[in-house]
Amino acid sequence: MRIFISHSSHDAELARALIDLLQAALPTASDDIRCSSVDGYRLPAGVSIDQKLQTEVHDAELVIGLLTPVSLRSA
Amino acid sequence: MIPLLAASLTPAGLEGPLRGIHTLDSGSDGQIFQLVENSASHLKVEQQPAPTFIRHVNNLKELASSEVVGPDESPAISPASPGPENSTALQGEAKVSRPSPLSDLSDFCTTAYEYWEEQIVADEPAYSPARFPHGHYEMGFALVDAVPADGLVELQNRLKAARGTKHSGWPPFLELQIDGWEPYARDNFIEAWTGRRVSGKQTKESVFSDFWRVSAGGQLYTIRGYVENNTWMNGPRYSPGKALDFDFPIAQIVEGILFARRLAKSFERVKGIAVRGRFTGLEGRSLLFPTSPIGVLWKSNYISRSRSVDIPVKQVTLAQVQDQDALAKVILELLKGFYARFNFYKLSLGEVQRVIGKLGRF
Repeated sequence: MRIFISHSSHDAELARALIDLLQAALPTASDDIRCSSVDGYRLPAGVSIDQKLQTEVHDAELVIGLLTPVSLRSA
Repeated sequence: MIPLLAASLTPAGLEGPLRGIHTLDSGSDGQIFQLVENSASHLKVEQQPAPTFIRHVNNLKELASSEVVGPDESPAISPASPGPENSTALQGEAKVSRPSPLSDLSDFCTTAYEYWEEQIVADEPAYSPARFPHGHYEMGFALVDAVPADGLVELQNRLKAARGTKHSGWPPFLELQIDGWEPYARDNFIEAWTGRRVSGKQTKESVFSDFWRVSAGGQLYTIRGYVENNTWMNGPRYSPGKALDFDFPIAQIVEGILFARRLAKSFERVKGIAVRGRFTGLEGRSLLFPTSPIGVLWKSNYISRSRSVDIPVKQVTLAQVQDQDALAKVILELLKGFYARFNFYKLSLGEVQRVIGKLGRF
């Protein structure tokens, strides 16, 4: 996993569009991207969500934050 | 982190740990491109050419501008948690942006293809020639910034005028005066489908099963079959789906551009022509090279391992399509990637010029 997309679950559609853009524009594979609200990019089953997210944010080469009214309220 | 701001937010409105951070505006093409560039730099990879992903840029921009603000039920990952060295955010102003001509054409072609598949050939048997069982090619053109024709009758007149010059016996966007195969008005388009079963008869050849659609705004789409798949061309040397005439893709794209160029003369304010292509059914096909002026073809070892190739949308100026040499350079840039799929074949300017020369009456 190289790219972590930080977002609110209410912005899943926007996050999906961002993933589509990144995959079209850059040589990335599906498992290079983590986006917890979009099918195909979610966390694996059975892991500790908080711990896994913290690890992945820390280890990602690139974090993209989607700042929307919803995500700011929930931050 | 790269912060990307969405609808109704401005950098000045950010508070707390986000105050003063550098954000990118998702309402701006330029800043989305900047996002891609920054991402490529962080990841140390090369980004694809812009036409490859322009559609996704526009899609993201539109979504960010039209985003509905809903109730917040689940916590988001804190945008402040990652360090600034590897992050980006995207911010969008609440504004309506007009899609670019390039994404417009892409969407027009996608919609037309889906319509062909879901409605035009939906009732055809699986191996009907009208379904192009051995592959097909699609071409799309757009008269950039054209003032739309005043209705479909006017558009039909303009199309007839553009058909005044022919470069082949089966040109794109052709009009046949045969009941069932002639152009018709449907919704906001003029269309024709020559693969239709007429009086119980139907062509046995994919190459004669064209579907095309043109809008009053000057967007054109056609889907057609390969001449090499014709049963009357079958011989001991190649069979359907196994060969591709080297000249064919160049000739077809050029013929389509020249048609769009003639049509552009009847539209006002045309700033250029956008072109898009797609070739399918290519896996296992060998390029056929002409070995004599009478058209005997030689089957090469330049074989495609790709099933299909997309020719990304490219906009060219009217000046580029008025001059034969300039057009050859445009075609070389447009198609060199396509030919490279055939075992790294390197298309040359001279080859493009030769094919354009064959079409005559430039």
